[in-house]
This record gives sequence, C-alpha cells and structure tokens, in this order.
Amino acid sequence: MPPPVVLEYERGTVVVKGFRGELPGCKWDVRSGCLRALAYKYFEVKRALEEMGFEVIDKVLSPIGGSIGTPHIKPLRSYQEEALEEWLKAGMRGIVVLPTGTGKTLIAIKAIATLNEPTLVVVPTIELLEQWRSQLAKSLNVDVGVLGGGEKKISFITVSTYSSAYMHAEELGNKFKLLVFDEVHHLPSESFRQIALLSTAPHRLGLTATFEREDGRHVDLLDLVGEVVYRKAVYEMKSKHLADFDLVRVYVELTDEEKLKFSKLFSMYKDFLEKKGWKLKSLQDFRRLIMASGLSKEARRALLAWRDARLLVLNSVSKLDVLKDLLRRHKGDRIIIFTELNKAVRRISKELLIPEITYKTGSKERAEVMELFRSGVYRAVVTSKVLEEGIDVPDANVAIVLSGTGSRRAFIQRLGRILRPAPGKRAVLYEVVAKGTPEVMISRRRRRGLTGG
Amino acid sequence: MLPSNLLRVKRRGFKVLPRFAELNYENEYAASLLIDTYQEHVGKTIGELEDAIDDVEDELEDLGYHPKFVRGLIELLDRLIEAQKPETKVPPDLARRTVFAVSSQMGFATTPEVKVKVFEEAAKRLNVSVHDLIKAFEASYEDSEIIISFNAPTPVDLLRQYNLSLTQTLTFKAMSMDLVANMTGGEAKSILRTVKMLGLMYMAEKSDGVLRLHIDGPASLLVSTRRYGTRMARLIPLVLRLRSWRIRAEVLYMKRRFLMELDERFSKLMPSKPPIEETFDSMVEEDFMLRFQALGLGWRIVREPEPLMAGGSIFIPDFALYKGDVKVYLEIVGFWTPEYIERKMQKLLQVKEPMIIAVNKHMACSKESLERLRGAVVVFDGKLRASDLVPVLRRLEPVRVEAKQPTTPSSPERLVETPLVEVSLDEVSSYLSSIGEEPLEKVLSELRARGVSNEQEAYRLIRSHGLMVLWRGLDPSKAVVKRVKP
Repeated sequence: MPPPVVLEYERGTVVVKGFRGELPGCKWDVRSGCLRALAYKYFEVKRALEEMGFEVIDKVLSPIGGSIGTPHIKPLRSYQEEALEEWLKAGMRGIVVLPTGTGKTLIAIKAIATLNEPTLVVVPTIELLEQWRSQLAKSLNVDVGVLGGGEKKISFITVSTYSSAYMHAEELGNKFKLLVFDEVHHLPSESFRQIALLSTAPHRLGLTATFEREDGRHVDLLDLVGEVVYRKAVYEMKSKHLADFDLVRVYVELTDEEKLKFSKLFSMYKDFLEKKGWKLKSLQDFRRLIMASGLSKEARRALLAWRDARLLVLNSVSKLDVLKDLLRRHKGDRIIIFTELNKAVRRISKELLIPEITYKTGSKERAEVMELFRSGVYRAVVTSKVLEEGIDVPDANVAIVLSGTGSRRAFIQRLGRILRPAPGKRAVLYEVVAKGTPEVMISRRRRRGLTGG
Repeated sequence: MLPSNLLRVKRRGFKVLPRFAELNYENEYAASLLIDTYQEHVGKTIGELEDAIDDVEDELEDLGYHPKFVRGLIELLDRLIEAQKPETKVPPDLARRTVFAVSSQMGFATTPEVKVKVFEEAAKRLNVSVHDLIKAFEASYEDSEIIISFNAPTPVDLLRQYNLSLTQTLTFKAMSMDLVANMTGGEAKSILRTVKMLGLMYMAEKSDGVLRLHIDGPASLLVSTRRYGTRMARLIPLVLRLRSWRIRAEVLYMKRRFLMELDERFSKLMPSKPPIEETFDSMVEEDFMLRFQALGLGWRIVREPEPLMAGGSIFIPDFALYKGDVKVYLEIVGFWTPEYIERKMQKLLQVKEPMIIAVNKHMACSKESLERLRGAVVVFDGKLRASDLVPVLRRLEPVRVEAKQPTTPSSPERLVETPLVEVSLDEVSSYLSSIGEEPLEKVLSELRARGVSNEQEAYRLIRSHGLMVLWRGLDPSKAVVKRVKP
C-alpha cells in the first residue's frame, strides 16, 4: 500500500502532496515542491488519484455549513421546467439562454432549492445584487450573504458582484458547491473567468439572454460552466409569455441654430476620420478612436467634437419638447427614460424634476429610488447605462430611449425591462431620433437585434 | 495608482517603461497651475471646481501637455480634497424625495409653471420656504458638495507621486516580477512579510551576495494571469526604500508581452521614503540582544543579518555573531504552534551556514526534529539568557596563532577549562595542515587517534590551523572541515 496522497486547497489552487507524476491539469511547482492545479480541476485530480489506487487524504473543501429553509417558490412555467430538467440531466452544469423577462431567476432559485448546497450567485450590478438577495431570502427562507457594494458577509447562500467575486476568488474558491452566474456572458473576460477557474464547485449554472460575445470568447464557457443546455429566442417567446409591446419611433427636427452647430462639429469629426481613412462601423472603431485620442491632440479634438455633437442632439430643445409631450401623454404610467451621457441625465433630472440613476449614484440611493419607483411614489426614472441588465421593474410599461450605443445586446436588454409579463398590459417603447443626424443609423442597427435573439 | 486608461508608457521592442514625468520646469508649471486651482476652490462646490479644472485642462492641452498626463495629475489631486454636503434647512435627501414624489404626482415639470408649483407644494409639505427647499434639493446632487479642505502637495511632490502611480499602474499588468537587490535581513524580512501577506509566492536565488526574488502567485504556474499585478504594485513603495535595487517585470500590455525594467536610478523621480526600519520580532529578541552586549564576551552581535538561502526560499536568522574570522548565526525558536515550529525546522535543516539554534524547552516540536538539530542546539527554559550561549560560543572561539602553544591560552578562563592533552602537537599539526576539505566526523576520529579526545579541544585545534567547520543542515555527519586560510 503506497503512502496516502494529501490534497490541500491553497488560494484558488489545489496542491497534491506525496505524489509526483502525471495528473490532469497539474504542474510541478518548484516553489513549494509539489504538484499544483487550478481549483476547478479538483474533482478530476482526485478521481485520477483514486483510479490509480491511492488513498487520498482530502483537505480541500471547506464548504459553508447550513441549509435553506422551507422554500416558497412560484410554480415554474413549462419552459422553465424544461430548462431546469435539461440542466439537471447535464450533470448540474451548463447554461440556459432565455430572453430577459422570462424568469431565469426563478429557474436558478428552483435549482438552488433542489440541490440545497452552499451556493454562490454572481451578478453584474449592485441593483441585481439587491434584487437577488431579496428574492433568495424570500423564496428560500434563508439569511443571504452579500459580497459587493461595500458589504462582505459570506453565508450558505451568498450573492456577489462579478468584481467582488473576482477580487475574493481565492478566499471563496473552496467554500461553495454550486455557482450560479447571472448574465454569464460576462464570465469569459480575462479577469472574471478566474471566478470559475479558482473554484472547486462541481455544479455550475449560467444564465443569459445573449450568449454570443463580440470577441468570440463565449466558446470558453464550455470549460468554465458547461454547454448550453437550453435555449429560446425572443421571437419564440414574444406572444406566449411576454407582454405585447409597440415600438414607436419619433423623429425630431433640430432647430436651425442647432443644425448649424451640429454640422460644424460633426464635420470636424468626420474630416478627421476621412483623413485617417477610418470607417466608423462598430464599437471597436470607436474604441480605436478613443485610444488615438490619447495619442494626438488632433484625434482628441475630433473626439471632443463628436461628444459635443452628440450632447447637442441629446439636449436638443425639440427632443426635450418631445419628452415633455410623452410624459404628458403617459400620465399615470410607469416610465423609464434612457439617455446616454450622464450630463444629459443630470439635465433632465434637474429640469423636469425626475429622479436619476447614474454610475455615480450611491448604492443606498439607488435602492431607494428603485424602491420608490416600484411602489409607485415615483412615476419615472431617468438613467444612463446602469439599468442595462436584468433589472426588475415589474410595473414599468413605457420606455423612452433618447439615445443609445447601437449595441444589439444593450437594446434587447433595455427592451426586456418593460416586457415583464403583466396580464392585459401593453407596453410602449419610444425611440426619439433626431432627423438628419447619424443617430438614425444607430437606431436602425439597434432594431435588428430584435429578431436575432 | 491611476485608472488604466491614463497609463502612459514608452515602448521599445519588447521593453516597456512608464512614461515618467521629468521633474523639470515645464511639468512643475502644469502641476502648480492645477494645485493652485484646487487651492482656490476650497469653500466652493465640486461643480465649480470641475468647471474650472476643465478650463485649465484645455489651457494645458493648448500648451502641448499630454491630456493623459494632465488627467493623471487631476486624478491624484482629487484624492486630496475633502468635500461635504452644504448646510441646509432640511436634509437634502428628504428634499429630493419630496420634490420627486410631488413632481410624479403632478406629471413632472413639463412647463415652468408646473415646476414652480412642484417646489411650492414640496416646500409646504416640509414646512420651509421655497428658497430653502430649492437649496436643499440642489444640495442632493453630488456636484453641489462643498470642498472643505485641500491637502496641497508641492508641484515636485505631485510629479513624484504621479511617477510612482504610473509605475504601479503599469505593474497592475504584470504577470510576474523579479526583484534583484542587496538587502539586509531586516529589509528582506519586511519585503517577504509583505509578499506573504499579499498572498504572493517567491523563489529565491543568491549569487555574490545579491538576492534575486522571482515573485508571482499560486495560480501563475498554471495560467498566465495579471491577477497578482495589483498586489505586486503594492511592493513598489517598499522596493523604493532599498538602497540598490532592480525590478524586471513581465507585463502583458495591449495583448503583448513586454519587459519592464527599473532600477534605483529611477528612485529620484519618485517619492523619497526613509529606509525600511528594522523592527524586533519579539521582546525576547530585543531583550536578548541587550543582555548579550552587556555580557562583554568580545563577540559582536548583529540583528537580522543578511538573508540566507534555505532551498528556494529565504531564511533570515535572528542574529549573527562575529569574533575574528568566525561568524555564526543564531536563531531563537520560542514557544509557538506545532505547525510553525515544523515549518521553521524544515527551513533550518536546509540552511548551509553554521548556526546555533536556541529552543524553548516547552516548545511544541517533535523529538525527531530536535534530534536532527543536535550539536548546535541550546535549550532554554522560559527566557534565553545570553550566558546560556557561552559554552557553545567558547567552542567556536577563534584561536590566535600563539594559541598553538597550549601553555599560552588566550584567556584565563580557558586555562581552567581546557583539559591537559597528552598529544604530539607535531603530529596533530601536520595532519591538520594537510587538510583541504574533509568530513568533520573523519577529522574528529583522526584527531582522537592522535590523542585529542576532548571535542571542544578538537574544534579549537581545527580552527587554529586555518580550518573552519562548515555545517550542512546541522547534522554533524554532513558537516565538513574546510581550509579558509592557506
């Protein structure tokens, strides 16, 4: 009988003591004189050792003790049942792709209740953190730990932002058995993927409305979380489970003075691009311009001109007039106003006396604004990009988009915000576009995202 | 540390360096213009400061300063202000909630008339004047905060801080870092303690007294990652406190690998920090040092001497003791957890230099480990007294040339202690003179064969013939006798 092999957890890795040879995912570490693997290879390593007939002294896992309470979970819809079924069949690993507003959270909560294991839920924003916390606490009857937004409490069921989970990955790595990644398309980035790599958790569930990433890195999700086990697109869902909605485009004319100013600014920007031979077709091109602006004064001028042109269009008197009209028309409705630049958000907030949420808004204030919006004290919220993902605003039935980046994903998700099923409701999405400005192009591109899924 | 979009570098081939701001008149001008603007806005709002800074930014750019450089300075200055919500008659949060709620009820301020009505109604609900209400409402936006203090740096200090921040920001992107330096035990201890505290790992090498630490993290072995970059950046201020140093970091920048090489010549561009202070690990050590010096044994005692190698890691003994050419290290092992003791023992077994190990009698340590350390172990009870070392030190005392004649002992004490030895000094001398390098055990038995039966005397004779005992891991069977002087 060979002497036993010891497995230990060390800051996101697993070290093998008392064995030297080939093991899956392992490398010899001269620093500590032992084999070492990333934590997510733990079960493979252990299995390999056991198959070779070694006695393994396993000191790796340090799961958080506890249990969920008596669950109170809404009954699942048929497609939610199907999705959960598929995930369980796939060995409790894999990704569910469903449009925003179709109740992915419910699938995850049911999965967590079914497994009743120490679970870490990873979400992209502070709003989602709050939202998951309250939903988990309610449905699973447990005290929920929170990591992020200035809080750090680890419990049997814990919710974390991606950034906090990345920062504390080494500490969290051996404490959970199930990882749930909300908006899992964030995971493959160079840093966030380490949340998955430095964890021993055998069970993993990814949720997203938009599986594909522009950089093609979604293929890595197979290794990090598992394969796509269930998938349905927007058009398959629309009439069945989502509120019907109308998409209304409102064109506005700039004033003559605005037009003149706009064309001056815009040509400054366009001339620069032409001189460089650049065609601005995607976000990538735009990023390139931003990079270049750090390199030459000329590029920076062009960028500033572009920004000023955009701000001019956003703040255009006629646009603001349209917004005022829409607000009058929708008295009594629950309205979310999106606009891109924080300066524009601030202006609308101060001028029309509407609560704002920007990236600068503190988490306490955000929660308060959202709560008062949900309860109906506030009838409208104006915001920049922060609400882009999966925020639960069940009663919002009007969205007004004053500008956008033209990104497919962002548009679908913004749209999803007001598409929460509510019986007998018809939602309206307004898109306010200035005539004769490049915004028209952006809007057309955005609408294409609707049928693509 | 700066946001990475403000990072400026110089690239050449596969090398990268931070684009340092030189400490010249031009840069000092930009720095002082910004500092003055901040200074002038103490007592004003953040919003006013931001507008003023926007203007200075434009002005500096027109003068040809790089926007990222200017932004970087602003970033650092922002951290030096303290702002506060203005005094209001009602809490701004309450004013905001009331205004927005009233506005929601009235269908929002879509006309100036409605806006006035909203403010009037809100003021009425809160029982304040419309003027006070508007003031409180305005105060709820963060740009209405008032700057109450600004801790102004000098322009040169700001530039130095900028250079350090820039270096740290580039280090964020590091996958590993080599630190080559000449350091004292105290300095090495301080750096290694930080390395450990940050959850990093190191491999050490030593050549010609220069120490090379290869620093990265546990997962670096398996994935190239910048995960540890932010932690390595925190080592930089410590490195700047060394007299002579060199850093070589492997950096992943714009999806390409680069080498960042810095050395002490760059220290002058960065904040000057006092050298790392040596601190005693425990009272035991401090107390011991004073008592040892008071004893006047003629041995010089140095605390936390240079780092020694123990395999790939570093061991810094508590003390080094010198007398003549003799040098021996002393490590005091106090009362600690079994795991700690075990780790320390593992390290001690790998050290090649001559050591005295003082162990607490009640130490939680396995017997086997202790036995392996026999020979140079001094056991103490409660507190190590300097006099506990006397017998061991005596054995190691260097012997002057005249000591070859046992009739002229080097100290009166020795006269009493050294037993009379009936040996042929010529035989012993000719044997010892012939040695280049021999195992200690063999030399001892050869000496016994020539009549030297007292081990202490044997050591004394070995030393007196220009030989030295080299301990390898404190196991006498591995120790050798080696010629140090022809």
